[in-house]
Amino acid sequence: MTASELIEQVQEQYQGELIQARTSSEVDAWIDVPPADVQQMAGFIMDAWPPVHLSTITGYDNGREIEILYHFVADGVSLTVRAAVPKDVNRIDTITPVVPAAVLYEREVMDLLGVTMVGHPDPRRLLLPEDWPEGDYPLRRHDVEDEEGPEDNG
Amino acid sequence: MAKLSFPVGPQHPALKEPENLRFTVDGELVVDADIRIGYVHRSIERSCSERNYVQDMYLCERVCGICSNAHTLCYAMTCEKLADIEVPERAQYIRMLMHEFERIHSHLLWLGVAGHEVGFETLFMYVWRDREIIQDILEMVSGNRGHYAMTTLGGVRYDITPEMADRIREGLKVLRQRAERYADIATTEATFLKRASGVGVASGEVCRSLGAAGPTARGSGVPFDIRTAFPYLKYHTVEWQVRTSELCDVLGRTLVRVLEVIDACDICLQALDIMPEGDIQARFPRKVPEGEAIARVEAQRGELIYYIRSDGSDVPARVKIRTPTLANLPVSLEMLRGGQIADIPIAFASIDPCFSCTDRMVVLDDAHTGEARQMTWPELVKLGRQR
Repeated sequence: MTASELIEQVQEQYQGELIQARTSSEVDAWIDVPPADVQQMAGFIMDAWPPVHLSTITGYDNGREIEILYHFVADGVSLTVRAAVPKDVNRIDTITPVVPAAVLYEREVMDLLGVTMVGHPDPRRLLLPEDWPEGDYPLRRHDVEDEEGPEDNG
Repeated sequence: MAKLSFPVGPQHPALKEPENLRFTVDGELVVDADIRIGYVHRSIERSCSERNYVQDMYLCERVCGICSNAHTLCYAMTCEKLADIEVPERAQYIRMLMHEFERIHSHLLWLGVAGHEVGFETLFMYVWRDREIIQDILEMVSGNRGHYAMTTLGGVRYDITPEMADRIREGLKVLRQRAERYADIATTEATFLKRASGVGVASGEVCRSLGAAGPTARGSGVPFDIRTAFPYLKYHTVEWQVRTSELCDVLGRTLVRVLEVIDACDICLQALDIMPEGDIQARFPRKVPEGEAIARVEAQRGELIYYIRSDGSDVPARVKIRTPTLANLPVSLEMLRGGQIADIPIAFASIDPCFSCTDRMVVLDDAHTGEARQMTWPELVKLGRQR
């Protein structure tokens, strides 16, 4: 299947809201959804083109919000679902009930960007040491935040 | 008997990366396994967004010492997608050759380590002797035995001369024969079969649901290979097949890797014959247009994915890397559950995570006295061989 065919199928069959859907090549599809719908979207993808592979989850701080990108492989298409979480909300539902492979990737995003994955079965740190200061997240952009950056921990 | 829990690592477990495994055992049986990673977290992703595109190339090469070429290849492919640069044909063939050379060296390295873990030292010696052939080829082509620095943005750094091609052909022919011999040993040698068959079992269904990749997934019958799922470089111009095994155990993963070495030799021999003459580098701009791109490659351990976001400057805004070992960790824990303590080394090694040698572990040996006993990794390996 090509990326544009996949996008067409999503637009026809998916019940929830789509903010944007586009393709950047024959095999690359991008879908933006509201953060509240992310579990619904993940469930839809898992059911629509089995077997679906979740490659990873990327977190990106764009200054105003934290973008969470879920990189799927569905029927030969590299499908990325984006949910932009406003920094003052800072939480999003876990997709682990529908995508078990997401467990470690979600822990990584929680650890490095400080977004809470609501309902995650095992929300421990993944990469940072246990004594890493609370509230300091290495992949957050401190240069664009209004508040001051993290304290200098020596 | 009461259930006991003991840690393994962090200074050890399989291959290079320090990891801390925690096992809960009931007698000799492993009932639960948990993992703690992050001991070699070097903030490479963060550092990437503070350096320019060329500097990041060197940084990404150092993510891993074994699959360094896969990292630079995937990084370069992502950047080229962002900048919309077409890589010259010849450069793509040379990249494919390097990619497969690296697969051969890595799979042979793993096969030697697997032999070592099950106490089959002869296999280890022979395999590592033969691995020198591919190491010499890598050194001849790139100048280095590791961290080859062959890939550059827009192409490759060095060309392969006709004299080099002849020597590569000679070497690969020998290696191919040796790999066939190892495939024979893996399927007929009684001691190896006893330690590999039925050990570290993970069904195809478990591999799929936990997102396993590479030989770990293919050893359980999941035909997931990026080289066919998202064709890149010139894999469509040569004849080869995705190797899978339905055995779902250490033996299955071993067979997949050995057969992939044979395939890699075939791919390289074909590529040497059909690669066209021409440039090996395209000009790459200093600044990359605004946008985002993903590239995937089939590294020797499985799917490697890079995501890069560009803000239009000469420094990427975000570089995200997901290495195959992270994808295979959840399924490796499944393999350990239900196995025996003596099977831990080979079962964990079978996903090919990264093995350093000296480490210590603590076995809370006696449930009645609660006395802790130190146990070193070599001791654990010894236990694995006595079985």
